Amino acid sequence: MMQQKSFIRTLVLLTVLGLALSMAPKADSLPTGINGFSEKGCTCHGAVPDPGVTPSIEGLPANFNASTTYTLTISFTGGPSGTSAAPENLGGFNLAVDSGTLANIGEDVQIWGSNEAGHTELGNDQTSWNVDWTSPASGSATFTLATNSVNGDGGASPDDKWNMMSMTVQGPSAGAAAEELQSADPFVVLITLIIVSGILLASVILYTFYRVSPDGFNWDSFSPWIVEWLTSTDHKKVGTLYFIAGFFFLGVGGVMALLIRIQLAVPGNDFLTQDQYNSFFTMHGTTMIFLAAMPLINGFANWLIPLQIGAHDLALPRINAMSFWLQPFAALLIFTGVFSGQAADVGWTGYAPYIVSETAHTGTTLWAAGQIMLVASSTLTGINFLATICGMRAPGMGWMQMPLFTWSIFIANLMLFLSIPAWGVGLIQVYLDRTIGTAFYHVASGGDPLLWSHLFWYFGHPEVYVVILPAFGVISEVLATSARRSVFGYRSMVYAMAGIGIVAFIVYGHHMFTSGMSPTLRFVTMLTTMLVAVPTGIKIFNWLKTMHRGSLVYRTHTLWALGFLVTFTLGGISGMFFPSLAMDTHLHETYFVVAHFHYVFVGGTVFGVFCGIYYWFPKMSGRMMDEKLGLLHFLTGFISFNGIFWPMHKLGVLGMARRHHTWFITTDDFANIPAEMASWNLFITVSAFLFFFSNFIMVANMIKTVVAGEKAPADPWGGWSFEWMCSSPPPTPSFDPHNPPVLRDANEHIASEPTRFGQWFESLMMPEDDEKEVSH
Amino acid sequence: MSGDYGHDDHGHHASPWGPHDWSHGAPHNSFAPLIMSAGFALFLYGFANVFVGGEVADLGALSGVMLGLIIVTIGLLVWWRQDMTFDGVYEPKATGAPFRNIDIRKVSMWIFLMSEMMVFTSLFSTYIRYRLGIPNCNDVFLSGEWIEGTSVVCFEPAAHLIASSWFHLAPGAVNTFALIISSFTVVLALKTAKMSDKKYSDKYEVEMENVQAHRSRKVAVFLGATLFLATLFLTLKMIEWFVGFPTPGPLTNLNHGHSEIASLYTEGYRINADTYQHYAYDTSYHDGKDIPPDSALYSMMQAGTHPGGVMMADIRVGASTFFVTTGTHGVHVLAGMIGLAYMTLKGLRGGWGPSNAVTIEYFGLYWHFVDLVWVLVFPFFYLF
Amino acid sequence: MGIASAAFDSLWNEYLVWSAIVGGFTFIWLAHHSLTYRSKDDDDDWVDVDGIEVGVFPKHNDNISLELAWTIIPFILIVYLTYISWGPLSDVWADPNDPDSAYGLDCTDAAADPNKCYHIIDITAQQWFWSFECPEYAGPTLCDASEYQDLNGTMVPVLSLKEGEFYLANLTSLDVTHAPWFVSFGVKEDAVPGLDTQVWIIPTCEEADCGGEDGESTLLLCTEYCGDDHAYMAAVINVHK
Repeated sequence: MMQQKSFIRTLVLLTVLGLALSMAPKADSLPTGINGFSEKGCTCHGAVPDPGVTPSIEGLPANFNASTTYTLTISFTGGPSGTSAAPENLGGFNLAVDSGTLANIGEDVQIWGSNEAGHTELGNDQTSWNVDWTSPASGSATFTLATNSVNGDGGASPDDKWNMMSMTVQGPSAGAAAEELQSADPFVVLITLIIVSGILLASVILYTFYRVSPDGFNWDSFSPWIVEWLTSTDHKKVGTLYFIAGFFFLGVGGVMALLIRIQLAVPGNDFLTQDQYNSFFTMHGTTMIFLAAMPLINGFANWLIPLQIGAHDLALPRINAMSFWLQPFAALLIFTGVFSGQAADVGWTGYAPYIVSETAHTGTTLWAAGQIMLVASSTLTGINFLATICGMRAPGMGWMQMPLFTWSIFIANLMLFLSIPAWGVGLIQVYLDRTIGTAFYHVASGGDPLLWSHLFWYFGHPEVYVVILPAFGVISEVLATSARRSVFGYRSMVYAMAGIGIVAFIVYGHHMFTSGMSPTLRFVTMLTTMLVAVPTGIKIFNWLKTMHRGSLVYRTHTLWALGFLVTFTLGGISGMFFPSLAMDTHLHETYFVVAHFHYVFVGGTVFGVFCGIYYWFPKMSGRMMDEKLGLLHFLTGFISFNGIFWPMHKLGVLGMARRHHTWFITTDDFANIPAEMASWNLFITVSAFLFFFSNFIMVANMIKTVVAGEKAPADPWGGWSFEWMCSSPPPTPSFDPHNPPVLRDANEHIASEPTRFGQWFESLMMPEDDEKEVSH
Repeated sequence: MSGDYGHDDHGHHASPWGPHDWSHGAPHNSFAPLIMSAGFALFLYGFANVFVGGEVADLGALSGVMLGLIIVTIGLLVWWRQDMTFDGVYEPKATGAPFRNIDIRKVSMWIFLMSEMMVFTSLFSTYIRYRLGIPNCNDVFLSGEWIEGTSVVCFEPAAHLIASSWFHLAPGAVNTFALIISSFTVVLALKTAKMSDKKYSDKYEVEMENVQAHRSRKVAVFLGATLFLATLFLTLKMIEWFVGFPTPGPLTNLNHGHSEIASLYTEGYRINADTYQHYAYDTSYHDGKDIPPDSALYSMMQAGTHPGGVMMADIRVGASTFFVTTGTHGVHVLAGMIGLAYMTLKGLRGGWGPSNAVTIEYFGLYWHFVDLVWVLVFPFFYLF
Repeated sequence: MGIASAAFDSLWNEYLVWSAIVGGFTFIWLAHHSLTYRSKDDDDDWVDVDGIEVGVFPKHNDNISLELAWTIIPFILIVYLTYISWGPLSDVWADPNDPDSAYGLDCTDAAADPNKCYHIIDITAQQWFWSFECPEYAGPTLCDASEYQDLNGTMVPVLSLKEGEFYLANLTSLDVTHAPWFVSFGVKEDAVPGLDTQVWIIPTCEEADCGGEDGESTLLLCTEYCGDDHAYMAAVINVHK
């Protein structure tokens, strides 16, 4: 009976969701429209329209009749073609219309799709052209025309001018036209999906609330519940909020990746315009790194650091809540541009001077503003975790008895916190350049584009390690526990991480091997970058050795950890190709790079996150996850992941460039990517869809676990650190601050006694008279 | 896991709007983070709508900027309201080496200052890169490699303008002393607050029962003095940037005969100054007596190969580094002032004593840092 | 392969071999251990050698000689890889004023060796097209940039170069940062506004006859993101004998 009831409830919920889904496509929030029309005719003749050229369209009535064919005459006056002596290479045009169909009359005009026309090579010698347009049955038609006026020299030269015009013609029943659903614009798709995800998230929250206590499903008990979540300073609640935000944006970033992949599935695709494509890869990178990976890591850190070191909470709980709440508002600012169709289109690196140029989208300003808030958030997080780990370890836990995950978070935060101010200052400079008009990156006034690159990569490279180190920590914990051994070479693991942390600051120049930076600096960073392989290698070999003579229990998290070892090793090996400078001049900014960093970001960080979810979810929720669904998730996810990124290596080497709206296959006229190789792009796209949807298995698994999972014991896997000591889920506060747990050490030494250096340092920190004063 | 530390165990349902009962441990729920984040976002959003590319695009969005600031203030007030009752009862000490027995807040403050150091390091890096990388305006002027009416890109250090009349230096110099004295007053406040009841009573001949109120008021006076000096600092800075000030009558001679000291703004030292002109770059100023005879310009003028006139310069980068670096420092002073306002208020309400005097110490760490940064900013931007 | 840069090819092949060795070693080790040391069921003959117990830091499981071994051996490999990567740098960054460099001096220089000298091309980048300027003395075979070609609907310039000659490109940008990538020669360098950068171009062909009369045509792409038409900011590079 109970079951049937819950079945009906689920059915009702699904119906509501379905209704919400069907409503969502109508949510058209594009007030300013999108400049997505093509300018194919004009791109080679200067960046800015010139008012000296006057395009015109003749042959259009004031109101068109339904489904009638009109012959339009396109022409222009002005510009250098009038003064040209040669009777050839005089001009060109591009005409786009939003409804009706265009057809060519002569050989001088070519048609793309049915709504865009341009001149052919033959038509290049004319200044006016004719084209047929068949009007639609109703509505109105907007024509956008761009014409080039060229000087007859046969090439693109600065003298050449172009200009644009647009006109709208009303149809027969313009006033009473039925409201039509617009064709699927990718921006609308994205916005719709974001809204749908929001609705889904809200529904899941509501459903969880309902399932936790069906009787209390009313406003009186809901409002304190939601207020608790909005105001909580408890590290576990804030951690959960981080997880929710992180997974939400992982989905949003994934949708953008899919839209990018649809565009790239076949050559010459026009699913996205250049504008949209550029915005999407920018937003994809920004979202994935700053709004997905970092919050997910912070979710783990929030949940686990106090538990692992035996502290009752973080050092500064309210600052911790502040770190979190800065993020959703930062995300709002970053996404503001998406909703107005002018999202930042500068790449996640935001290279100067493009980032301050007027050709960059207006959303770039708020993109920078949002990231300034993220910098503030990361700084606060850094202070909090460093203070917590430095100062709040339980008795008996010296530095060298900290769990490796705690170590990884410590080093990651130290790096982040020392590097991110540089980028923050860079962002403030960019924000001020774009708003009040300072001139930090205005080249005409002496601004230096490379300064931005330096400030960015001084942060950007440590950031790369900031997101991978916590994954190292997770894998160290999981592999050791699964193999039922203590991790091999604990101390060398710590030194390796510290080594990575130090080297991180002196290698960033390898992102600028082709930037025109001084050759000496490039050479030095080539040497240091090579060095990164050593500590990373130590870690991988230590993990492998950990399994030796162990007793590996195969759980979902074990599988993800082994999968991580495979993908991360591959990513590490491909990484070794870049510091080799003579090779990097070819590989830089190609799909080889894309393949490499996805192997370490997704195959490293995201796999690490998945691994951690399966490992610690029982601790967090108090319920065991479904192992069968976990296995399914691993198999589909791991295989499709490799399906996406493995072929990219080869494509990159063959000539597929990163951040390109399209790619070129070898034709009779020129060689680029061989056609048979290029067809892997379609395979990649299909794999991307598979990978995207495979992750919903985990989401379903998590929901299922929370609602109906088996109760978890305190230590389901046999780990040793403090988090396994408290019940699942842990109480609040996790440990009694006046009576913290004490760590014992199975090794025969007392490591908690500070060294002589430590004693000297402590005596510095606490002057004697001070102590007396306080003790009064 | 039950004990006397969990506020939930006591039916202690504090409101997330504060005030907080600190004897029950770590801060409880608070709306402040949510409100302040929203305020920051609104501020940045509004600001980006008011100014676009150096132009005022939409003055109406100024309301968004103001609203954002108001919301941040509300959030701050909520935060403070929860802290107002803090009397040092809950002051967790670090347990792990090497910070054992040191207040967690102190550790955090030092860590925070580390990141602040990186902020100013980055700003100074920008300054040094441009200062050394872009030719100095004076060098360009003397090289003669310019023609009248066409802007040349060069770096004009604010110090050059400031040095052109020693009165220009006055605000900066007074400010330096104001900040150094304010560091001292903070220390006095701390020393007073830390004084034990008995010692205080003996020293100031105050009845034991009045010590707390008397002492706290005295602390408030010192904190108020600090606040005053900080206000003086920012006021003088605004005068120097935007307002200018009249020269006292008899001293006009020392100011090249001008009765007013122009602000940097009216001197044309602006972030959008791409056609900057200054009398120092005018060959006819002082009849050219200021042009050193060993300069290329002098030889050119003598040989008649240089027409002379006024050099026009694009000094946007130099002005940007000056205003943004000193401005960032100013924002730090402003943040300190907000903190000081709260602390003074708390002092007037009798809130400071030996048990919580460390809060003043931790504020002092920040304040000394801001002071230290000024000691670096001053020579780099005002003297050199 | 399609990439006809000698420096790239030799490095690439060497790196591939070492990647295969390191990867193969790691994966065989991984496969062996994950199969051999798997737990047969939940309570098999597992002995708790490390003292794993909640609240107890487990016994150290280390072996200093092994750990040193996989610090030192990878380090030696790294030193070797650095060494082989070092060599081609003299080709990438040859000093244009050094007569002994691989490319000699500017051909217009009186002191230049006519059999080993380079020609200077000026490449100007602008949103979103390339302009090439050949040296004045160059005939149509040596360097020519007057042609245009249709690349999937966009007219792009054609730069014709001669195989076996050396070229030094001076890069400038008029607006934002761009980067010409000579796909088949394996080189790229940023064209940064306000900064003079240079790149050596050594045109090579894939086929022995270099595509016969028409020459071999490959692409030049922009690889530093520069705005809307970044992907279409291309040029055709034609190499002939």
